[in-house]
Amino acid sequence: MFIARRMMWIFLLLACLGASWFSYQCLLVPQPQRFSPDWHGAEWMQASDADAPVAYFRNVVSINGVPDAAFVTVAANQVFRLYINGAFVASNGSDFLRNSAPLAYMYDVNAFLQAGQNVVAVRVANVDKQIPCVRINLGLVRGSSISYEVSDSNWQATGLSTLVYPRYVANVNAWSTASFVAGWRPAAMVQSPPMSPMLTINPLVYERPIAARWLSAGASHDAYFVCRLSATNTTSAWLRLAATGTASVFINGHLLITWNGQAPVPRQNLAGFLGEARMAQPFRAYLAPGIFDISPYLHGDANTLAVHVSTPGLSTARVGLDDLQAALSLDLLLSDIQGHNSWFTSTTAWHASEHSGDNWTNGSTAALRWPAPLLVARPAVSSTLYLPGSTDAQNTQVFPFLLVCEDLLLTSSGVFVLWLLMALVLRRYHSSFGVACETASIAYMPALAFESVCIALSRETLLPQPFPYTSLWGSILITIVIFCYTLLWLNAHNGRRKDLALSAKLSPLFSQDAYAKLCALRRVRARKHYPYFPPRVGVWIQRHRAIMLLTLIALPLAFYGLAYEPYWQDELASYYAARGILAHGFPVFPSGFLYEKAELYSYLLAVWIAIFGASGARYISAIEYIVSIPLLYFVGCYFFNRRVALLAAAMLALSPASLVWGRQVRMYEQAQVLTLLVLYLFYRAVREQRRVRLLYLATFCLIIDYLSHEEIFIILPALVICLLLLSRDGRHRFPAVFYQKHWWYALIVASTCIVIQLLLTRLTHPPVLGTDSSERPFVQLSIDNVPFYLQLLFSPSTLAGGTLPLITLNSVLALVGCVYAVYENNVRARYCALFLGLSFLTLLLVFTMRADRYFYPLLPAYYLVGSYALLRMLDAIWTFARARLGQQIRLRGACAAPDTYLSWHTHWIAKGSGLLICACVLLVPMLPISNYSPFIDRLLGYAYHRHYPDYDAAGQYMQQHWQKGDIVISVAPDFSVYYYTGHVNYFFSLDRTLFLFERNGHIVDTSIGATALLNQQDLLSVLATHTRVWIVSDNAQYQAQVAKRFTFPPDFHIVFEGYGSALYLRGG
Amino acid sequence: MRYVPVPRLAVPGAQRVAPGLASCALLGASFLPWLRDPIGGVYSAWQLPLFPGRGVASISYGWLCLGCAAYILLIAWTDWRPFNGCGFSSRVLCCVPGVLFLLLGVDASSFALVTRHELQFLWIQQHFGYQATTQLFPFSPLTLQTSTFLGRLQLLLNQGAVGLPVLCVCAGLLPAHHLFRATRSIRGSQWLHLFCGGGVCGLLALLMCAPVGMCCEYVAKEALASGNYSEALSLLDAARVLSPDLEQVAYYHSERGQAQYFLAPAQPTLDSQVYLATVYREQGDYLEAYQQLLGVWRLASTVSWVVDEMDVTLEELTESLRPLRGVSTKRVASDDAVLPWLQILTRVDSSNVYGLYMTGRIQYDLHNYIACVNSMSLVIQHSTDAAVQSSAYTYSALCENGLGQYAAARQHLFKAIALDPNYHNNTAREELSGLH
Repeated sequence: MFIARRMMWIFLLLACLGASWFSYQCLLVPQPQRFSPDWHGAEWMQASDADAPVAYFRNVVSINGVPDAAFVTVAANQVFRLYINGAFVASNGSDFLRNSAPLAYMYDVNAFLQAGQNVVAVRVANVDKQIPCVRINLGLVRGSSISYEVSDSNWQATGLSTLVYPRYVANVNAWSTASFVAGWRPAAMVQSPPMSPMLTINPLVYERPIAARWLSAGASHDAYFVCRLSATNTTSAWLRLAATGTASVFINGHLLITWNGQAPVPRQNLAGFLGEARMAQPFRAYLAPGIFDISPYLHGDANTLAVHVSTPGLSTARVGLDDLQAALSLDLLLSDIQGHNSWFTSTTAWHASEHSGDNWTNGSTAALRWPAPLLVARPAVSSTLYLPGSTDAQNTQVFPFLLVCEDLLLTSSGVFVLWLLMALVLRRYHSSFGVACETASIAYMPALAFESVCIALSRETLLPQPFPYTSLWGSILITIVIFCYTLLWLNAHNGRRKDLALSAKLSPLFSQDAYAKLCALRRVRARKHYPYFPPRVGVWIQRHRAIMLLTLIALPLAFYGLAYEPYWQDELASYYAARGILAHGFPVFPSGFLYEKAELYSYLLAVWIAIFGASGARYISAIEYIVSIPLLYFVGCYFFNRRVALLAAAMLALSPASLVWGRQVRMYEQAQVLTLLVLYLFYRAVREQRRVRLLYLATFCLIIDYLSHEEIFIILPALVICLLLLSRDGRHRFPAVFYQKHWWYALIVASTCIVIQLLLTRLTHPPVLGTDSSERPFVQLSIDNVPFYLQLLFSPSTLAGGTLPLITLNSVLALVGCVYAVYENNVRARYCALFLGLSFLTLLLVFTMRADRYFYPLLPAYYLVGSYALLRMLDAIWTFARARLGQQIRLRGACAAPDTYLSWHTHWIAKGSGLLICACVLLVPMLPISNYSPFIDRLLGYAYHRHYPDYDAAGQYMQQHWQKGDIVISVAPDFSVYYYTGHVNYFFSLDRTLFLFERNGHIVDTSIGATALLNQQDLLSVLATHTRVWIVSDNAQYQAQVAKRFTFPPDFHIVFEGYGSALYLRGG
Repeated sequence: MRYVPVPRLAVPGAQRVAPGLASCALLGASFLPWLRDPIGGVYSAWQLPLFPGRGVASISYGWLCLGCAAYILLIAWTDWRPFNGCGFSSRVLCCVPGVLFLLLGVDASSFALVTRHELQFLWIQQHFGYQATTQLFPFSPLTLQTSTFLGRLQLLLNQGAVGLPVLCVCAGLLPAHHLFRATRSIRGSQWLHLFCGGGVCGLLALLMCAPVGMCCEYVAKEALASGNYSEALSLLDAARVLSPDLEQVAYYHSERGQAQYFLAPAQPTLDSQVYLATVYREQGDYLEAYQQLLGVWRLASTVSWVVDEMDVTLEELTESLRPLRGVSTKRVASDDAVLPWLQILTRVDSSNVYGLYMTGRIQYDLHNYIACVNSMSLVIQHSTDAAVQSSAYTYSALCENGLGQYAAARQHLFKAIALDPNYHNNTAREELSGLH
């Protein structure tokens, strides 16, 4: 009731927010754009000597003197690292992990160049099982001329890591220096280029050197510069700024940028997946110009650009500019509607002063009378940095608070004025002005629904940019509002003339009941078409056809390219447990260790492997994923209704998490399906206590759920509490289940099974040899995981480098659903909400492991409650709208009471708006599409990438070069190395005490029985007894951890490098 | 006064149970910790003043909770309500303590202390060798910014303790049971309305002082950016009048110093020196920043914000020398260079846990085991945080191992493990296991 009473104000508030957000984005936020790079004949090149996942490219460039400016334009397939003269310049690794859509990049490299021989080098990794290739263009600017060094056959390239990392060379970047003697072959040109990636910044800002003459106001610590400029017909404006101190930039009186161009404090380099993607910029002592897109802030003829530069104390002296004090270089690249670019570099337009004046930031008359600035020589080497709206130590993008308030006020006023006007127009058709106002407020909903979908789609970078915050999409939104108002007027007008309308056929008007009747007629007709279907089946299919369609859509998502990803260590643990069952009847690892986790899944996998072979092991999860979709639908139908069930099933079917865990040799999908069954069956068992079979079936499901994945114990407290609350009745003092013997039997059976499993796990584990953090109990009361799981649900972009799907909207809906269920007198909704909430709390506070997959079994309940919340909101809107837009009409000749009618266009617009909102909720986690599903990406022709390290490629190389007597030391998960190489003799033991045991006087691990290297002495003694030693490494975090405790002798060198693996060899 | 009949709940007692519980929970929450100090210690609602620096410092969040709890209890047991027909305001009242705490925060001196300790903890954590805690909003010691509302809110949420969730439970209990729909209303007299209205307005005016002061400070920042230094000074003065505890924070003095410096560069003041030190520190010129602050510190060595600035500068200076990083045999030189700075740091602020901890760690690296044990003892004395204590006990144990006192070492390792129930401290556990 609370919501219904205030629905009109909620609509208006949402309309104001939607309009303000759109105008804020259009008018005050620089939108991402795409620019076509000028390659000047640069070609795509690849290595001709190998088809390894990583290739290296280098070119020696002779430069007579350091140029005025130098830039590199580079595009690669897929992840590149750019080096110049041995120094790391940049990588697209972190961008690629977040969104693998191809892009071209430009970098200012002037500070890296030197007179004489320079080496430009690129390491390219392909994570999509394709051949790595790159296209690169080095531009050298001297005065007004630019010369280019482009990728062509003069470049050297190799895919052989042995040629890149010679033995006894400590510097891993030596291959990118001029002193390196590279006997590489010339690069091969790619005949069919993979793509034509675009730049995110106008390339012209890099192609023009920073001005040689800077502006100064005199030998003062403070300098103020102001100029007026015209921006008529300007569509975009890029500001390039360099200053000797902190520069505050005001545009038309508003402080928008604070820029400090001094180099930041050096930071520690970090190793990470895909290598130096996370490597910090090295420290370089130069002034860094920043580039800003200021297009939204310029308008019309008279714009005032004001800059305040302050260099207090000795700050300039510390960078060798003490004789210069406050000075500035600023230029603007302006683009007009026709695409013409022009530079605003005039020094005469500027006025400078050592002191500020009244209103000088707005270009007051006094300020415009200031004298022209002094011109001084360029003070230092500079290197341009592009700062796309980022805020860091150097760059502070000031939030334009006043402008935002102004924007909010204006757009909200617009929304209110339009609404009031329409209410006045509609007044004559409604009983009161209040009702007219309520009716008029409904017109904003379709536009809001459309805008929400546009906002969701804006996460997709493959769409043409800028999107959707442009005048075109703004016009579409306004058109929708106007169209809706017209419809409202027509609706009201027709309602007034209902007698006339009724005299015609039902065409202009359409009722809910009439629609239902029409559907029934269609069903009958369908039965006639398919006489061999029993009528019930026909009706059933007709009724549930949507879920069938959804399941069909999910089929290719689940089954396409199941072998695409390499196995990762947990999958291989399940695989080897299944192999152990086939060999010994028990899930034992190659080491002889009994793997008592997910026993049931292991047995199922063993049966599957025995029948279909090991290659199709991932099919089990895929089938379970497919099964989970109709199952969730029917459970949802039972607890709520068909619409809630369908939306929840769609959320689950299209969820990126399902497409990850539903395609693995792991038990998570099975646990999810069984948890859903448990949720459903126990509810029915409580409600239908006379049907004892249901109780035993539910108990059986619970036991097999537990044996499929023990982590589902998180649902046990929730289940107990829910059942106790659910079984309260007025006849008993305590919950009714206490008085039923079958419940006690079921409890005893389930508890016995769980206790036996726990005892077996405890008793069969070998004695622990030491202690470290791996021994942390899985069940422990702690608030350690609270931040992680809250971030996972509400701010996933802060975890895992922003690679997790954005489920914030789903989480908010689930939260709203839980709150709503508490308030609403709906037992089933309360049961689901309580089950979800308590299970999540147990996960949060009791389970000590942290990963997104541990939330996975709760996903169906999470989507069910979220879907319930969304559809309750839509129902509330629909009820409100129907009451205002429907008309009470009695059909001619009908005796029944008048029915509520809606015109068919109003009906479909309302339905369409609801569908758009649902589509928005479904779309947000799926985007960007390039990381979503291999099937979709292949279908659309986009690039995709693997998510697990390529030990398969490393294993292939090793098997080709394997010699008798070789040994393997693992700096990676043992199972992966063992599966792909067939050998692991030793491994570096870090924080793995729980997984160690003693066998024949050696400390070995529980997985494959490899001997543990516990310290440097162990390593040295192994090296002393073997000639050829391989080290298989992940080339990332694991190796970085090992390197803290162990030192590899210098005679090891990399012989193979994959995108997520590396092979070191000694003695080969 | 006349009675206005309203419908009652089906079970008469039920309408009193939930508000009674909520009232007790609200009162209980006031005695629970609301704010955790990163280095150890907690603040309950009774220790956090509601109107800092206004001569009414004794009015704390605890009193506010007590007032709210009493009001809820009163209406639950007597069905009395002064705000006739205004159940909404009563419901809002339950959320007031928590919302005010998050919006207004705590007094500046307590907040400065928490910030100082947070910085020390963040620096120390980098040298643990393992991840000791996970934060809702991950901070870096170089980017921790508490001069903005958002920064303060994030720190408060990170350091919020168990009292805050209990407050949420209180707020949830009341509306869920429809308390105020079932109570009997009394239409109060006009005077009562006037009195209550006046009281609420007065309270709001007092509460709004700090946010308005904050707004003045924000506008002053913009004035500084545009070079209107006189105007900025006036705004900063106004901010101080509205929010007197701004005097206790270093960033306020730095802003004043900026205005003073550019108005009269040749006449240095304490604030302008602090401003210069801030600029040099941002530039990475820690020695010059230290020089500037030294002059200030000599004049005001006991002022807390001066000590804060010295702490921050010396901590960043120490870390810029990259102690305890790299292979142990190669880091002796940098470790050695850091020791004098750490001595200065501990002289400036003898309770600086970071300084004591780092001194201990470096002494351990240099095999000065007795000095390390002494430093770690001081760390244990000054910090009650379990993670810091666990690490301190670990290095004490390692030193005692070096001194041949194996029994004492083992005891300290057990203490370290006992203080680390979440199994983060791998150093102690591996040392105890003897495998490596």
